[in-house]
Amino acid sequence: MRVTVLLFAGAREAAGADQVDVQLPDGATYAGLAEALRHAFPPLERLATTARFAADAAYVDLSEPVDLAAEIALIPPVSGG
Amino acid sequence: MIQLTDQPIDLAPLIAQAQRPAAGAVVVFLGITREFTGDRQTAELTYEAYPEMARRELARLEREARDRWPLEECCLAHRVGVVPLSEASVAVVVSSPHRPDAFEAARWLIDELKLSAPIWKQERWADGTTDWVHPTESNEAPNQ
Repeated sequence: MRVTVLLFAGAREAAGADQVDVQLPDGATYAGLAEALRHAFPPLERLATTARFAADAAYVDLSEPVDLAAEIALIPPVSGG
Repeated sequence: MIQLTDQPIDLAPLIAQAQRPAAGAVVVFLGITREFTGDRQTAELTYEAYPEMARRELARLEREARDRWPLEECCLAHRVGVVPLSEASVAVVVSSPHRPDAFEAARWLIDELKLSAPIWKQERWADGTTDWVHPTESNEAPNQ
């Protein structure tokens, strides 16, 4: 299955794109998605390791299966305030 | 009340909204752009948000704060885009009947916002280079 991941801030800059597509095995979790991102986009190595994911604008656990119907985003460590 | 804005934060209306008859205290916290981080000089900061999610997270924090403390008003405002030195990037304005609740809620809100709101800052240093700030436990953000 193919999933589109929104990228922000340093992740967007590292990948040179505000979204990327990655190929995942069926039933993959967000942890698997992080792994796939690291392999497919080596500049994302550091941030894909420390980032969280969001599905439809809410944080998800790495152990959950990727929701293909949702808008998926990589949320690198935040620094607002 | 939450705000995500690319304009300077207008504090007066937020304070006015918090001044309710049942309130005896208004606490205001402003996070402002600091010039020096150790020896490094900042020229300006740029903030980027995942807007839908940032609004949702700020609204969640407002709800939780209202559940935990008897707040009359609870305003969270965050600026995005370029923020020049000494200007506010974030404002927390809360009111409650008595001051301890307002102080505690404001402190909790800014601490939680910094942990969970999907908003990021980019340093533009005085030497012209830029860095996105992505703090990790072993590498604390220089401008926290």
